[in-house]
Amino acid sequence: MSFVQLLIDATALGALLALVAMGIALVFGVMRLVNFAYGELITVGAYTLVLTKGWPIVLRVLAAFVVVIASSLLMEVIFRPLRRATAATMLVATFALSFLLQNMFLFIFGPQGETIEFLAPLNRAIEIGDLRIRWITIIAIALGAVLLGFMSWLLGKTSVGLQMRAAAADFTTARILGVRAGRVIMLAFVLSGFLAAAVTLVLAVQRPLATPNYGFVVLVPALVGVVVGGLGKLVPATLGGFAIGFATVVLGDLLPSGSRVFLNSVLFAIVIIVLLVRPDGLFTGRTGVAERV
Amino acid sequence: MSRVLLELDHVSVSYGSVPAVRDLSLEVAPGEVVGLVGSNGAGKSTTLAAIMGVHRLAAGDIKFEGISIAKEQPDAIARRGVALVPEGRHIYPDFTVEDNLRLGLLGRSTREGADRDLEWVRRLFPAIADSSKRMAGLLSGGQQQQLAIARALVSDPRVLLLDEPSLGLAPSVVDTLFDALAEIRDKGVAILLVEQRAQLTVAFADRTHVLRNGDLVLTLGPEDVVDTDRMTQAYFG
Repeated sequence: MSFVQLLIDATALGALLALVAMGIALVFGVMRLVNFAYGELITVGAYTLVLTKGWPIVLRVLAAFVVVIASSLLMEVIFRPLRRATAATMLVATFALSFLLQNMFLFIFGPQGETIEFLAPLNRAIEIGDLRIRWITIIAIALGAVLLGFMSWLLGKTSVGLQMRAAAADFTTARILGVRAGRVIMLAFVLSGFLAAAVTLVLAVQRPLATPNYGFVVLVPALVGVVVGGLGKLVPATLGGFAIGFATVVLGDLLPSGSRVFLNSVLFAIVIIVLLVRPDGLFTGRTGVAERV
Repeated sequence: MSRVLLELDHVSVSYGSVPAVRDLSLEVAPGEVVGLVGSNGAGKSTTLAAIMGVHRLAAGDIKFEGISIAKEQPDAIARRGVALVPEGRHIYPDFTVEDNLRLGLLGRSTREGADRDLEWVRRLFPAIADSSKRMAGLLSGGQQQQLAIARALVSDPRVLLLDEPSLGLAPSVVDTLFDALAEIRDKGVAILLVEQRAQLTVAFADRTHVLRNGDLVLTLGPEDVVDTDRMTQAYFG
């Protein structure tokens, strides 16, 4: 694989995992909740596309956004009684929800998987010299750039973004100043649902078979990315997601073909080393720890 | 308008089974300065946090403008016109000074007059006006305290709750701070002032309550500042 080809493919997966990481970090920021069930939002999106086969594309996209965002809001309602619970309690609760949902999908749709049949022609590649770039790769990178740009505008330039950042940095002080806690938390779930729906649409093209653990397999590397980048802050967490996606593709290329099965082992070994050297995350600055109060 | 702005009526607050404030009653009238002094652990900060809705009451009631706020959330209490400057300032170090001030505006019941109040705090604390684009964490301790107070003031509060505003500040900076507090009082904002510096507080406040282990044990007026015995009690709670 040429270097440029590698770079493009790595960026595409990086962009996708960056979006997932940001979705996780948004909710963590305002609730200190690591939502293990976040992957199931992506699965819900995939099954929505399965169930709307035959509908016009625009309606299917709309349905995916509506159902995934509604599911995210439902999760907010489910986690609401846990707002004052310890981090461990919340973590276990989201784990439980994740497995409950996966088994529900298993029960309803069965283990074989359902074909999604969503915009399959986007898997065709355009050839520029010896480069072969699939349309969906270009879309993934563009979508990642647009959504990350939009989120950074929203959080950096608007009043509601300022409130979310304040709530993420110091929740009690934010409330004392008049930030409506319930509203900010709800908005975080809406935005993270929006990101999950966007990720679903790209994944549905790349991986056209919906299975009960469809989103979970994406959540795990993204979550690792969030921890590697720095859990408490949005930008480092997002960069962490990108880094994991990028590294996965690059490592996959570097490893000899017979050793690809060890890809995850090598990746996680690097993660462990990174966390040993920088326990607060790879991309956190000096104040990273102080802010995570 | 009620004659009493803020009223604590037999308030008790506990941390688990440990009582932090016991049966505390006090009143703050509009435009009045009330001091709260006592040694560490006397229950001063807990009292302010309870007024702000951060701690729930074990017993008693807190009324603001005659309405019970004991069960309200902190953000709702803020919008009613209560502003807390917490101990340790709790400014956002990674946000600009400007963004810290913008957060203060959230506590307003209306945007009307916001520009006027921003103008006022910038005049009151010129150091803040000069560094609006800087990260708040880069300000000196005294400037950070000024920013915390300015942030509370732009919420247009009827009562300002100040938790140890002079902590860690050089004496000259403390003087500047109390000059600003005098101007805030003169604008008609009531102040409930928690302080370690008893002498300064007793001299400044209309009356000062002394707390010891969660109990109100003594109330002093400005004239008591020359009474050594009573001041000794104030210092040692």
